[in-house]
Amino acid sequence: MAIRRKYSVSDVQKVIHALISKLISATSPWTSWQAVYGYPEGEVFNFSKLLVYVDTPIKTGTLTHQGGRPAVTMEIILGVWNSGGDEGTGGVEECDIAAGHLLDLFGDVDVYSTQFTVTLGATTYTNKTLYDHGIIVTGSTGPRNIPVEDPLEYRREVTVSLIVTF
Amino acid sequence: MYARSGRYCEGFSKMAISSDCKIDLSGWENKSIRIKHALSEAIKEAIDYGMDELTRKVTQNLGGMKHPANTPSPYPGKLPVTMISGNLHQAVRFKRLDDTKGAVYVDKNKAPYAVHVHFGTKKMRPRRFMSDAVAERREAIINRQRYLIKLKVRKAGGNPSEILGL
Repeated sequence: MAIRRKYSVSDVQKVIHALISKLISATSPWTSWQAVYGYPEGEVFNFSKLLVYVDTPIKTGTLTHQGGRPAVTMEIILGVWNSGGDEGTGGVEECDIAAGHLLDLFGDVDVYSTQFTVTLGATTYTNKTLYDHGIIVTGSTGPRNIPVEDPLEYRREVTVSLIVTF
Repeated sequence: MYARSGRYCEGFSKMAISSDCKIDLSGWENKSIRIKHALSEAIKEAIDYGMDELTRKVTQNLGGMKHPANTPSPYPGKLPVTMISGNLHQAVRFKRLDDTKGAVYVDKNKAPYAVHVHFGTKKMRPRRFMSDAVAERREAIINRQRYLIKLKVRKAGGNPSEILGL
């Protein structure tokens, strides 16, 4: 259990970002995309790939049980944004493919078998799984179409529900 | 043998009719009606409470400090959303859809840019005033709903744990 109680928001965000970055570095078709930590700021749109951004998680509840430390339930928004330097190459289809891959990733037990490396605080955890970090995925919903200003932009968001244990 | 058993049967049926054995379920039916009524009352109240809470929280999330038009927000990407005209702050509405559903929404005619404020754009960070309010008040609304159901069902003479599964 690597997630620190007092830093749970940023730790969960870092862990999910590291998981997606690992897939993007190694697995097709994820290699065609780019992972961004947090909301994509203006300068990020210079990248020529579709963006997968990992937004800040929100705590939605607490799970208590007798004799144990409480776990928290969280929701994290993962977005895909097809725009940037290539003016949305692949169009809405690529955007939907990326959203579909995110939904499938968090709807399948395979999400627990992907090993990735992440640094939380001063400690680096090498080749750990989501389960090793004490994160359990309880569901994923979406994709939700997000309105954009530019006709050559396409954006979708997926919400993933998590249980975080400490 | 046949004649004798026939006589027995005849005798039995005569006895059953003459003893006037009735099963009266009217009490059970009345209680069931009372509990159904209590449940629908509790749900109506819970929906009202949920709409009030969300409207209050969303309005609060949109009630940041005022700043002049054509100047950047002093708190970019943070809640509460800073105001220029206050249009969005005044555009929060609620509506009861039916006995079990209600909606809190922003009037599109009054503030058509609400969706861009909520989800962000290339040049503006998102300020999720609606989903933040839901995440923050969800637990309180569910707890209130449970309390109201317990109270009303108990008053109607029922056992709330049978309904809530506690």
